[in-house]
Amino acid sequence: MVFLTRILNIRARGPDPFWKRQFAKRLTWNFYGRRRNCHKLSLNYLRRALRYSTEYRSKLKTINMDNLFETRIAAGCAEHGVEYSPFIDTLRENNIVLDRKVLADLAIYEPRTFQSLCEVVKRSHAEIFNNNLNPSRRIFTKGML
Amino acid sequence: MATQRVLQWRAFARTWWLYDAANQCPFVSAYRVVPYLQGKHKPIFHPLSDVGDHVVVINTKDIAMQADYWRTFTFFHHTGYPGGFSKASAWRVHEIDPTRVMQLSVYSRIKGNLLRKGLMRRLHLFPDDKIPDEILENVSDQIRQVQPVAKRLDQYSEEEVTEFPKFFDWPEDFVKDGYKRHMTRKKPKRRYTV
Amino acid sequence: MAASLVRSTLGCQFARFLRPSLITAAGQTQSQRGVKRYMRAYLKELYNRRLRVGPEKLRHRSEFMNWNYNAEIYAFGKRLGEEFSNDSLQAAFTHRSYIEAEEARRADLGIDVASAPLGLTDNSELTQKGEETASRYIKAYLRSSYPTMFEEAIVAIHDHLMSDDTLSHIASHIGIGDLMLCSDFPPEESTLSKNFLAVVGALETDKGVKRAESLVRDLVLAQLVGKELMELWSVTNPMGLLMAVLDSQGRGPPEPRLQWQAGQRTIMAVYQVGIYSDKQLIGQSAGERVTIAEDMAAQDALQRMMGIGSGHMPLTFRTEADKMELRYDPKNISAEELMQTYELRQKENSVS
Repeated sequence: MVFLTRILNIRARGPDPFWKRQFAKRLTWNFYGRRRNCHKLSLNYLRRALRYSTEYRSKLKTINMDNLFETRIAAGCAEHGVEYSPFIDTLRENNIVLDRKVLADLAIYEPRTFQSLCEVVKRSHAEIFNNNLNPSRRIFTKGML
Repeated sequence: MATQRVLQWRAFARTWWLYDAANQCPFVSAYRVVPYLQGKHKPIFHPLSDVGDHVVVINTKDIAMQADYWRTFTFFHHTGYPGGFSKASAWRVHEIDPTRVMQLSVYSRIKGNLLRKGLMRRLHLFPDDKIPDEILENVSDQIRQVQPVAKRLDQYSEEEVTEFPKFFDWPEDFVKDGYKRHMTRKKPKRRYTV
Repeated sequence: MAASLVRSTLGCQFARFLRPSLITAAGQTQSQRGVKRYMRAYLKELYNRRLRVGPEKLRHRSEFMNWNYNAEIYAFGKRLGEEFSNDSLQAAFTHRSYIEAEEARRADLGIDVASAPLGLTDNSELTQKGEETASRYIKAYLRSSYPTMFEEAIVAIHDHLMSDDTLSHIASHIGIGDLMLCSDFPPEESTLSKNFLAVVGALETDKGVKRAESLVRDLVLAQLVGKELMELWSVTNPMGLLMAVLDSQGRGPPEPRLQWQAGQRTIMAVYQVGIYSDKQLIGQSAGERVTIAEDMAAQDALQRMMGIGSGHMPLTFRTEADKMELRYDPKNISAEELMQTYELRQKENSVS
């Protein structure tokens, strides 16, 4: 008996899984141990690694960079006898709109510009202090009214 | 490239700072000293770039502790083996090695990562103000102390004490030198070794 | 090992083969699902063959398809935004060695060169013309930009800009390498730089000196942006020169002072020296040793005097530079002359 339709029953093997594995390998080549060489083992770790990297990009990187900028600005401020938080606040009050990244860069590469910013802050503080010293500004007596 | 080279050299130069620990709290001093070791006082700071400075701490034998901390503050140690635990109060540790309390307080102030060992190597501790020349010559600046040093009563001359304005005189029959702390100290276990 | 080999074999290099698309004869892409099973073995074989054969031989662009020399030459002028005449540009790109090689080839074939001339002119004349123009303009531009700069420094910067190194860098980046007709391939630096000057010369013959000078400014002088000018001119005795300069200006002698130092007993020692004249700070610099720091500080003082310190204005380009008054003729002060007069005066003083 000859089965002429047998040839139709051969299953197509589908695409080569090699390419899919290569794709994963491009991301897992630097993992430690078997999770780098065995595809199946690496998959879970790859998922986790991708999740971590996404998380880092969106949250942790921002936090880390903010901390770094703050440290650098604080160091620059300390050279001129100003503290970090009054420095930032006073700049904002005086309508000097520089973000912390720029301020940190100024502290490194343009120390004279940064010094002048510190000078602005110091003068602003002195002004506020002097204004508060003058009693006529905040005390209202019967005679004045 | 000569100009750029010396600029680079200057930017990454290590400054040597002097810190006088006489009559200073070691824990608060650690807060002051550690940023200098890490390089956080420089605008070029980055956690991975090695920009920290050297700090020479002198007079560590004269450090001061607040309240009753000499007696109550305890340093712990564990060797990692069973029965390897030991502890000693601050005064005892100080008695054995007068630089040890300062060293431990700075060490515990630094975050426990791979950089800590390197940072500690840039901390130079001396019990008194006798520093070897090769270290003293490197020093080019000093760190401000964390607390003002008060003058003790016995450091004033007799004249100054008597001339100090008083509200009243003590009565004749008042016993002035009667106060003494009566306390029996427990002898600590002598297991702490340095 | 095996894994790494496979990775390197079939990594990013063949990523472009992975695109499941076929380019049909009409040039349209036709999508195809998945990658065929034979593809992996095929690409691997291709890669191994490439490894066996070695890298592709470097070929001149003209050996490939779609090479239209006239169109390329036309496009060259348009890219630079200049109007060249075709003949002068063609002459600028023809090197003497090419003509010689061509004549030799014809002679080998038995063609009489005299009866059938090639009709090509080489670029030696244009090169000379371009070199004169470029050289004159660079010096004039520098003199008017830095009126207080020493003539030696101007010559040093000029030499740097006119060196084969710089000019060949410029030439290869504006695509002269492909257009040149010369016997050496890959082209040598000297050929490239000469050809660039020939292009300048060609522009001068076509459009006049002004246009050629602006080309030199835009391409050659722009190389100075971000460069440490003091490094191009090596001063042997900066302190001696500083003394001579201050003396000629009637100011007090330079007085080096140690401003700051750290870690003297370590290998990381650093010293900062400031130089004062009449109690005015005129220069400062750091160094690994006091002598180095002093030397560098003197250089810094000279730099500030010449107007090339970090705090000075950058060079002017574009339309601003067109308005600049150029000083072609009177040279700047010479450092050597200053030194000589200073020494003479010192001798006179010691005698009297």
